[in-house]
Amino acid sequence: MQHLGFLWAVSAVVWGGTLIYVFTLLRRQNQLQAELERLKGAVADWEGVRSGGDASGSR
Amino acid sequence: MNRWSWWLAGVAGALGFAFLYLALIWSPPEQQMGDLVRIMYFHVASAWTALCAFFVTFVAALGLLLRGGERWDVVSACSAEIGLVYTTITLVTGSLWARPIWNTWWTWDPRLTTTLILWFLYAGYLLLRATLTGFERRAKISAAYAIIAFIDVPIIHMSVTWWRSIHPSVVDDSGFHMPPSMAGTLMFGFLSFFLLYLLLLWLRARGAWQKLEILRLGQAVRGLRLREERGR
Repeated sequence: MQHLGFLWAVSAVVWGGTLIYVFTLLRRQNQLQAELERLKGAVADWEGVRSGGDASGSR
Repeated sequence: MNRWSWWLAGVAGALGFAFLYLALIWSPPEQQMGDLVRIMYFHVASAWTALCAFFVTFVAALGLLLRGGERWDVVSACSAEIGLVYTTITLVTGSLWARPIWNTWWTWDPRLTTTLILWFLYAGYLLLRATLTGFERRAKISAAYAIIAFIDVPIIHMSVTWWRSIHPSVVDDSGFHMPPSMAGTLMFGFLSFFLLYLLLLWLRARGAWQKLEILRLGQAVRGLRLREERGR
């Protein structure tokens, strides 16, 4: 097979490029998921505190 | 990732390996180019996938302007980003093919030049989105930009007909300019790249959706804190 170097380079660019992009997407998504969980937790805590406060206030 | 996306990833991966076998081992070498013709399978498949991605961006941009809604904007932006990745792959693989065949890494041929313009147009689209503020304003301005930028896609297709070009034309109105074994490999490659594009679009859109949810929740948390402070 001739020009094997160029064929290797093309395969590396195509699959390497795709894999790097996929891993970047997955990493970014994990960070977003963590942030989302943190915010959901903050809202749940606030609601918990508020309902607790309301309950003690009504007594 | 859910069950369907794992299935899609599995199928895209299997097709990718089968495509590597078809392109690098099974398909015959060409009479003049020899084994370098194998680069064409990756180059053309990624170019077609990029053009499909920009078509999706164009349709979603039209959908946003005609109907409105966050979903159109998310699909439009995500597809443009993936299209830009595939256009980069197209330009790099084309350059790697041109070096041994044309004895140069780059030449200002009409098809090459219009493809480079396409890359800059969609890189500009993503930069524009990053600089605009206000969700609706950003969505509408970038949709209008995406519709105008898409004009370059038919120009790329017609560039080899309209101007004197040394770029080979593998497909035209009369069909494929290659034997069935090579045309089959090329179509198989396009199918596997397109499946990969669908998977990437799903992944990227999910991330964009999460970001929107974070913005909404962030606003809600700020509102709650403000109410709490006022209540004291």
